[in-house]
Amino acid sequence: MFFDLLANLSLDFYAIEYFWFMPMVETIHYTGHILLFGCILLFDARLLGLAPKLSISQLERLTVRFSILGFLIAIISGSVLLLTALDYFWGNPALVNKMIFMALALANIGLFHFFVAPKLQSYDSNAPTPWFAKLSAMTSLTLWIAVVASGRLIAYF
Amino acid sequence: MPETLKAALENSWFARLTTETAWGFAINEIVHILSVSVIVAVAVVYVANSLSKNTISSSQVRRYLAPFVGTSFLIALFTGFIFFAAWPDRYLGNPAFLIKMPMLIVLAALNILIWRGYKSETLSRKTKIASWIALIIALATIAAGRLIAYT
Repeated sequence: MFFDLLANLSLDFYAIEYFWFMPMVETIHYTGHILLFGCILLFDARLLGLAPKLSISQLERLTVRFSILGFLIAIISGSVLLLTALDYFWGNPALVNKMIFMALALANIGLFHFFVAPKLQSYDSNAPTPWFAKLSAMTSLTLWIAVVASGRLIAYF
Repeated sequence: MPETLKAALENSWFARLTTETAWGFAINEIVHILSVSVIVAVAVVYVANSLSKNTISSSQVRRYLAPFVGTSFLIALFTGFIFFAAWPDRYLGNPAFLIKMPMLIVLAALNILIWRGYKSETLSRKTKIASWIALIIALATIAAGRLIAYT
């Protein structure tokens, strides 16, 4: 039923009729992912203990908002891509994996906000990062790499 | 390109890893994208820092970004070169690739300029403008890179 609902929103006409439609949306999708992953990596590296003098909250302002922007770009352009070739994407094992990894990565962000962020002030700068913040950063990096990798592998199935 | 050089590139172990193995190409692509992400994120931090009211001190930015600036560029360059070595003719005749290469050189030069600008504790106008241009060129490079597959 959900498939039928999505099929009604199909954008395949644009993909077939306009040659530049797909590369344009793909480029936007890549840009979103690149912003998302790059900025998360730079933030997580600080949580993992790089440059301990640098204030985490100050760095958060420089990176996290851009990873959120990247995420929004990736979600919107990703939905457009999905609707251009629903038959192809539906059930694609790499896409299924990507969605699972993304859900886990988002859950990890939720855990970060509940358990790590409230105590952030106590080790904002000039203090070693506690193990749970490091664990959260490692999990985040692993999951987002998995998201990018499985996204790239969609074309192989 | 001389035939001997072309043959040497195509027969190199790294080129064959992408052409003759099932996962070589995919892994190389993934590593390429991840390293490009870091290049772009570094440019984002430069721009965001120059716009921020609460600017992080230059020496801290340098210490923090040092492990990423050169490494991400080298990894992107090496993984990109592996693609080139596998299909030199295809790339040399590809308009998107031919646009991407000069942009990369400008991007590398801007990065050196910005890195030097961060030696001074107060960011000069030149460094701030260079940061903006680097970010725009980095985004244009992503587009050109993606379009290689279509041109």
